[in-house]
Amino acid sequence: MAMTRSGETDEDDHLLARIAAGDRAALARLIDRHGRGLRIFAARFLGGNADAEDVVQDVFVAVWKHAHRFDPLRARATTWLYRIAANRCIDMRRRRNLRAFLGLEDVQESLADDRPDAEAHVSARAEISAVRQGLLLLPARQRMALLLRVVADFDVPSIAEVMGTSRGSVEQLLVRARRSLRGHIEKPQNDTMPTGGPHRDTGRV
Amino acid sequence: MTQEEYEALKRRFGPHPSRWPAPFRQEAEIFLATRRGDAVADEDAYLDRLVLEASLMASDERVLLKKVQHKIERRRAFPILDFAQWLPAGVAGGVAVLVGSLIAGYVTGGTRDTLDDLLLALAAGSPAASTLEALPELLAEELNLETFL
Repeated sequence: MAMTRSGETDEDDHLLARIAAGDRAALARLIDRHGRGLRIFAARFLGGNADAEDVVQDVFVAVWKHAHRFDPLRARATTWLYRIAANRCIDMRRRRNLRAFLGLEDVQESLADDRPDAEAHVSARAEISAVRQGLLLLPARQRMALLLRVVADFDVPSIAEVMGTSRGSVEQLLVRARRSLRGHIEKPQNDTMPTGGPHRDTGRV
Repeated sequence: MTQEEYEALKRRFGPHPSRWPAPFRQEAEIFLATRRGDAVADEDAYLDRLVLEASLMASDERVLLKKVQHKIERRRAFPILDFAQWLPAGVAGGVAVLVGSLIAGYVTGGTRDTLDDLLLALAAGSPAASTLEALPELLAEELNLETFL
């Protein structure tokens, strides 16, 4: 089991135990705590809000049905939640690709689906816009690893657990994702580091 | 994040941002670091921060809760809905297997018709004279044994 912030883990474990016993208030609290993170993860992975909403709703319906299967000795509550979400996202993506293959859906339309109210919460800086575009251009596994790192705030072992892969593979995915994203940001504008930006010559995965 | 939003989150999740759920926790850390004037640690941390900012979007957990509760009730009333979501993929998979089987059957079965008819006639004990004469040739053709005949 990966080690992270214990306070968060304790409360979520407790909530899942209560949900397994049929406590609806615990489900409401879990949604209050993780609904936003899961929605952002799904929306940015899938590139669209409508599919992301379906995914997140399905995640919590699955949690309500299967909370008794969660074993706190084997996994953290958050990795369990994000693993369900990641699997649903992959299924959703396959279904969308199938629909696109059959001519039932325009993939580009889905990718462009972002609500105006969402945009209002994000800075209009060109850099942010480039990052958002760059995210959609990343290969799916790289995008998933990076979103789990950034949005879910997971460390490498937790990402490996969610994605069902090795730690080394996750490290590679993160390195490649960041390199591609950096390249995408630097392409339109050469000014990469604003004042007060990071110090160079350091590496972190 | 504004000071008001930060205070609202403290009331919602407790006084310690390190124990808040993601991504509220990272947002609060960025807010506090900016307030203190801390520099971003390194290039990766800076990029991660950009990705987080680019990913954030509005959400209403109360609306989400209502939709989840509605789905739970609906699935309790109609358990078949649990399977309905897999229907398109299931149908498409079934069609693909069927088409694949038809093509494979046509390709493999098409070349063996004559020989199968002959063997069936032999088994039934009434092979036509002409086909009986052709049997060695057909067998050789089927087994690629031209060189031996």
